[in-house]
Amino acid sequence: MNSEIRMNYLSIDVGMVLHGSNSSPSPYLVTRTTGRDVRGVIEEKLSKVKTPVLSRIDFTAIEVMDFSCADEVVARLLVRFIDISRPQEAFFILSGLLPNHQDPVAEVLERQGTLAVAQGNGGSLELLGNVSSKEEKIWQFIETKGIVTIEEINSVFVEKNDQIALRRLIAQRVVFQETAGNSYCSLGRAIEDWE
Amino acid sequence: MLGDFDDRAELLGDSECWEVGLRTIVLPRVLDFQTYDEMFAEVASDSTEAVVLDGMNLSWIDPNGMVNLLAVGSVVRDKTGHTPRLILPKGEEVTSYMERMGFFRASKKIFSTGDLVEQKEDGETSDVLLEVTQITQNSDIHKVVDKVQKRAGAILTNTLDYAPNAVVQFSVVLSEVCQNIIEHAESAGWVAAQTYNWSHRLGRLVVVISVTDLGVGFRGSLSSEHSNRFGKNWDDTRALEAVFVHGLTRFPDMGRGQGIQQIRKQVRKWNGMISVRSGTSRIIDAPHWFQSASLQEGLPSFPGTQINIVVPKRIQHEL
Repeated sequence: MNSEIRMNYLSIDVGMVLHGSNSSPSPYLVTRTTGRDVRGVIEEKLSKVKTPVLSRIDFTAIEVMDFSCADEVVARLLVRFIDISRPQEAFFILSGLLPNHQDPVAEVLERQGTLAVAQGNGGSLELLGNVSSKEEKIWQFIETKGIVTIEEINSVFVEKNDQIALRRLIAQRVVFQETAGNSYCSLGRAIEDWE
Repeated sequence: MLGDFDDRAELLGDSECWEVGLRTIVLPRVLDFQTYDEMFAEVASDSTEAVVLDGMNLSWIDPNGMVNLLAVGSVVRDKTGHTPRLILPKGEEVTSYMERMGFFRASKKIFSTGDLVEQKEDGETSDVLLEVTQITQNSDIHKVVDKVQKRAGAILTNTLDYAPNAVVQFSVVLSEVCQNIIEHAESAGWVAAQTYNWSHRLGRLVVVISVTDLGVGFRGSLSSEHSNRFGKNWDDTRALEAVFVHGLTRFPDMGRGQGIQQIRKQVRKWNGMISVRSGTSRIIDAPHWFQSASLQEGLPSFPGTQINIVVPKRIQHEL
């Protein structure tokens, strides 16, 4: 299936945000106050972009990320845009996560019951958070295909629990549902269009 | 115990010394995480007598000793309205070490300055992991992390045999533990860290991290949100367990209360020891090498929270 995804894009370098915020300029994403400031700047940047928006949150410049900041800059940011009262339609891809970031990010995602999509150095995408094997399977299927029609999904994933898993992936905004096209789109495909 | 007339005159001035009492608190010879309770016991009373802290015979002091000596001095100052005097150790090595650890700079407004050693503002020396640092605001924690990132890497990898990324985990532990002061204590606090050779106690090198504050303590922090469910059983021990074991905080939202939990998890991975004292109780996560009850109750009452972390040198078979 060959279709164009209608999405706006915004890349956010967390290191630059940290440097430009009122917090002490450093590569250290530490303390809840700093995390809150950084999240505020990210939300403000997003608010200036037309929706729907796909935002790549880049942590490459961050040497140290503590749990409080991971909670503010990753988990709370995602939770805010998953919530039905979200300020706008936004999807996120986390990039530049170093091995040292993985513990804090995994911990806060699990604590908040949130899923996230992360992009590795080679460009491949990974689903983070407390994800079931069924959710992982459906997500991988959509990621591999890029764009999948509702009919196709329904023919491959026929069990009742499959629909529950799919709904969670959509609600968690780790796949993108095209309202007009009756299809699901992977964030990987969306970011390919961007690049 | 009362000091002599000369002490009183020097501390208060001739006319004032007859109007208030003067008490001398003799510091233990060794002031560390196992002895600072003795100091706390001396200031737990409601006495408003002016105080002299006699450290003449002090022969050893670690980060716990230093930050909690500052805490004791602050409590005495606030309780009595008089700046306590600190008699310095007669051993020059101890005084010199306290100077290198930044103790005297941190103690300027806490102890009378007569005998105190003045430290240059840039007097940081290479053998110190983290000088005694006051934590009052967010930027203080950024400074702590910056210092640790610059200094601790070589110590942790070359001396303590940890993986190169351990310095980041070490910084995260310090950041979370210092945030405990700002977020929960609602008061100033201090942090310090240093490497020691525990040849007798453990037969290897360790890093000691100590954090103390004079805030509301865990019980005070949690009372409004959690005391009802414990009813009459609500006390310092229940509050400590609520935070240390169950990860509760006064904040109702998800995502809070993970700081201490994550510190505990990381210290356990390092085969280290962590103890948290608040009010009249202390809770301890003790590894095999440290024999201790996991809970100590009925300790002398003292404001705030005191956290002690000991991380030993890595040994291959413990990996």
